[in-house]
Amino acid sequence: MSRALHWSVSPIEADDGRFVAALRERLAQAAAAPPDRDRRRYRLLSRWRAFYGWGVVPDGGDAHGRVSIARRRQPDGWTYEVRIENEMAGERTELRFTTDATPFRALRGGWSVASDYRNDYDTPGALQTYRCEGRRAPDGEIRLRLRGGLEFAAGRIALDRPAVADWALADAVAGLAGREFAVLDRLEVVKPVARVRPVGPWVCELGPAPMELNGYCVWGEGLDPRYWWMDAAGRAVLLSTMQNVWVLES
Amino acid sequence: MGAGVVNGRPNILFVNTDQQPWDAIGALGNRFVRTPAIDRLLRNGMRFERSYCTDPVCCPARSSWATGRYSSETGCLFNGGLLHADIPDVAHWLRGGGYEPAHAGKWHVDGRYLPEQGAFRLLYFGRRHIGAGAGETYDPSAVRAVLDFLDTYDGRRPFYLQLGLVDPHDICEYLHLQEHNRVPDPVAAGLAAPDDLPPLPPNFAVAFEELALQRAFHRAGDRSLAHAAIRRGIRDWTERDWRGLAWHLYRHVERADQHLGLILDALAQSRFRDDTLIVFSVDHGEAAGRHGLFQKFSLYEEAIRVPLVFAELGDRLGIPRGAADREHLVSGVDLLPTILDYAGVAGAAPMRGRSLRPLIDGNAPADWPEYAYVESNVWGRAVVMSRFKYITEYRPRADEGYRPPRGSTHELGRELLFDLENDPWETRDVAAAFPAEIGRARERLRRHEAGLDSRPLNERSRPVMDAWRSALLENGASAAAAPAT
Repeated sequence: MSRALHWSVSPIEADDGRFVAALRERLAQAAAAPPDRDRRRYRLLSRWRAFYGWGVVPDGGDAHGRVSIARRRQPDGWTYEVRIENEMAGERTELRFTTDATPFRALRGGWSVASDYRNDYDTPGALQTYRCEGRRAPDGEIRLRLRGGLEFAAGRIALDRPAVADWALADAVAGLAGREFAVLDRLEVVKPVARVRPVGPWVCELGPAPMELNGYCVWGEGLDPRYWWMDAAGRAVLLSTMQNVWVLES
Repeated sequence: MGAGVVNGRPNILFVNTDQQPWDAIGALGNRFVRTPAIDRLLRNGMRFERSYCTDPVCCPARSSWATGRYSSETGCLFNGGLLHADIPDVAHWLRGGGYEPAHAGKWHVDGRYLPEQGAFRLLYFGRRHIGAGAGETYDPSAVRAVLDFLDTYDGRRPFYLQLGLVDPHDICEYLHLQEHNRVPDPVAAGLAAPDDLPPLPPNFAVAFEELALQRAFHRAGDRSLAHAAIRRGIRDWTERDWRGLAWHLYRHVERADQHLGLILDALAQSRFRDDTLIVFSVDHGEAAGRHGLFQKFSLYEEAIRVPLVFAELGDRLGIPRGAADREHLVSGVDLLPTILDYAGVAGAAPMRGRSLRPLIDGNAPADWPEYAYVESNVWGRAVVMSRFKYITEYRPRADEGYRPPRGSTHELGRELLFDLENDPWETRDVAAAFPAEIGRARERLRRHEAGLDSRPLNERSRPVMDAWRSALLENGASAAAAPAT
């Protein structure tokens, strides 16, 4: 596979150099950061054509969001706390969930979503709130309850199929290769059929030293292909979607 | 009536997607895409199978939804064309009529800035405002805003809630990715078996001479007005690459459908379930290889024909279930009159469309229009009739005064006629064989436009028209004479 920038993490239109420079900077930070086994932090870079041309964030920074994934080992599984900030969307979201101890990190028990989203840079007070709690019923039904009390069934995931939170894929993607599973996107939207396929190694030379990454493509029903790139230590270094690249910062 | 209805007037939920082909629906027999939520609406409602947008581009089509007027009247002849400030929109009418109009997601009626518009309750429209794309970024928050509204709205006034999903418009980014990258097709990437890819459409190769306007937008190589860089990037595409484009598009359709499904699941358990009229439509289509094209900007069926469904999850509104109207030609300008009709609100300003409610109620008026009128790229026109579709273009003029071209001021260029009944893929131009149909279509075009507003474009919109006109004249649009029919 080519040692150049892999297409799955390249800018969508002609690059003026800023995208690659930003990618380099973040990867250098990741290489220099002391290892933190419990929490990983990512910055969000846009591959999207409109980002650099039109500007997204008021301070002109090269990233427009961040994610931190904190997870803690429990006797029978893992707890996750994921914080997402997206300046473009105006979104601040916190996801809390638990998984089993299998390599699939399948959801178990209840979970919660707390999201605040902000409209418009210039409109003070345009802050909205969303709260949701969820669980998978014994029959596989996904039950959601909103802050005002509205409770509803949001689809069903077959009992013989692991239900995986999208951000748990950072740890589970390699273990899921070759197996059908379901994704609960943002802990709300059921993607009933998902798959993982290894896409082979890529020697990424953007960081301070060449880094061999193994790619995994995740796709399925309602899931346009997205790519997780893992380093030799099993850390997810890059996640690319059609419009964004999440790059490990520390 | 339930808690959601005030004075017998229903709540109205209008969900729209962006750039979804009319037939990208599982329940219509498309085995390459799964759309259980849209299928649910089809089971619980009435669909119009001959529904056409007014103009196959986001802003123009949406300006018609919002105002009930054609894009040449609203000022939104293209993305970036500005809506004339004095034209009221759906939120003005409904708020004045006692409704609570609320908006989440994509709006894209340029010139009508939502924070200043004042009539919508703004649930969500992005911190950096939603423009053309980025469903991946915006749609989840827009959906959450709608869920929260259904959960917490007090119901004192009936609501009009519109959700603009950006997906599947994100397929545009997949196309832009091709400009500088060779992306493996889904089979080569190991994501799909060859049989999983939708087949190449039978009209992939075009065997007739197209409008000069069409050639200028799509077939002029590096000078093409619509995304020349993409066209350059995909010049070596194989059949599998084209089929892969449709495969990717359908994943985005499914993503939008899953968001719609979440909304429907919540509505079904909310106190508004029995009293909410659900409207689903799309601003315009996506070619995905049909006529060898991608995206929109054409007058072919894949660009202008759109899904349109009226449904309810309860049974109090009298919407027929599992019904299909395959006969009547309906248009994006009909949406606002229909919404106002259900809301019991009279719109005083001129609107070009008609309420579809009599058709839904089974009382089709005898004088229902025999055609749908469509505009495109400023100078393009289509008159879609029961059997035939007439496509033509006005010849650009140097002295147009920034007014939309009309038959009273412009000469017609090339004219095409398709027999949709016998050639639904629009593979053969039959204009020469049906001169009387051409004559009828011309007359309909002339009469129709005589009743339209033709005021000049907003000054800030004019540079686009200038640039396009120059390019068209350079590309020889003015030399494209009408055939002798």
